[in-house]
Amino acid sequence: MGLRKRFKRMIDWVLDVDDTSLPSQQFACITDFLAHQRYDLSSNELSELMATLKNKHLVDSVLVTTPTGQLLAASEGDGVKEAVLSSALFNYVESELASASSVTVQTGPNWLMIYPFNKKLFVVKSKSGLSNIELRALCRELENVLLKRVVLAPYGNKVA
Amino acid sequence: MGRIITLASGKGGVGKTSITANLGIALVQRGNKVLLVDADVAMANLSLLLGMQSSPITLHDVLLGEATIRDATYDGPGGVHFIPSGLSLDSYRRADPERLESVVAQVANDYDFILIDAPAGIEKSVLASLSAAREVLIIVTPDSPSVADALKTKIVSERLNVHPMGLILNFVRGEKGEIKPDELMKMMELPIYGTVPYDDEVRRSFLQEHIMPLVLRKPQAPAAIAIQRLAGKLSGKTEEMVAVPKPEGFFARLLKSIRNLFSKK
Repeated sequence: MGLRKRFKRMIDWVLDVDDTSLPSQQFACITDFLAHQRYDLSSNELSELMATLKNKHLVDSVLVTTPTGQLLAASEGDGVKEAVLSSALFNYVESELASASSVTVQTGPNWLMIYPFNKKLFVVKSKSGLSNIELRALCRELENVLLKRVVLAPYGNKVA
Repeated sequence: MGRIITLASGKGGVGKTSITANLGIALVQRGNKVLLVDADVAMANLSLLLGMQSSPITLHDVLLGEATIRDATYDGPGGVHFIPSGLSLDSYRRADPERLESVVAQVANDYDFILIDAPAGIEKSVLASLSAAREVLIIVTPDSPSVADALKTKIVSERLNVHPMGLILNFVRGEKGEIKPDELMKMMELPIYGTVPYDDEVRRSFLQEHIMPLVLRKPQAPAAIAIQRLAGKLSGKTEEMVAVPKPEGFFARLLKSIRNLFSKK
């Protein structure tokens, strides 16, 4: 260590000089990131709530159906065909593997996940695979929305 | 039913394990029944800190369905009950962390507090640790990488419907350039639940031949006192936040020495 450096170090120590400063650019980045993570779940519109939940849980679409394929809610389009196909697929897998906790299909970058929860099937499409923990959290939240904020229409009637 | 709290951070090396062990013991000293769960199934360290690394049945066995949670519960130092994670890589690969939630729920009624030491990151085992609890305390150090990772942990917790109680600000030196508590609260949109000052005694706790948590080894150390206050707050006794002593400069130290010199006379 040079004499100049030693001298500066001693001066800094004597005067209690500290040249650190707050990383304001990093703070701005963190604040900006946080601003994109706010989700308003107060709406009574089911389609709005499903769109919000879709963004919150980082998935492309969510569909809720009965085990017999009757559509309860869908975030995209009417989803009737998808409800029938998804329930048929789940029922087939369940007939082969009785203890299956979920069905996951990956085709290239797209994932299809069917998760049974509270006597309903939740069909989730995403660009990445979700663990059962994440699927369960999404289902719980969606179930709360379905039960508390909107009146469920009878099976077979479109809700969203 | 007892409170199930996960201690998480996002970033590694911020003092999660040390705070979990010491906080658990401090809660026991306040008359609570406490269970510590080492949910870091890949890198188990809590058992090393509690000196219980050679436990024959571990959380791995429970997650594999080969043992019950009560089989894997041991008496730890200071009166805590403890579930260690195994050190075997083979059982780690086979263990299913998704079972943690149902496993912890089995003993929720037996304890006042169940503290879960989560791994770093936001991988599957972290999600399992978070979803097994109802509340999460996020440990953060006063620097931007730690805050950025803590923010992700907070967002993931909210996504899993686990309530973030607040932040534990650890390793606080009171230096210039450190993120101040009010700035941190503003950024994270969470309250500061407690502040633990930097204390070399915490590091020394790991260097002893017989490793012992700080609240037992040096109860008068500043970090131990801060953790005791945190335990007081958690167990219902409202305590003021720990004031973090700012390191004194040369002139302050000089003045203090002169004052001490005269007071001795």
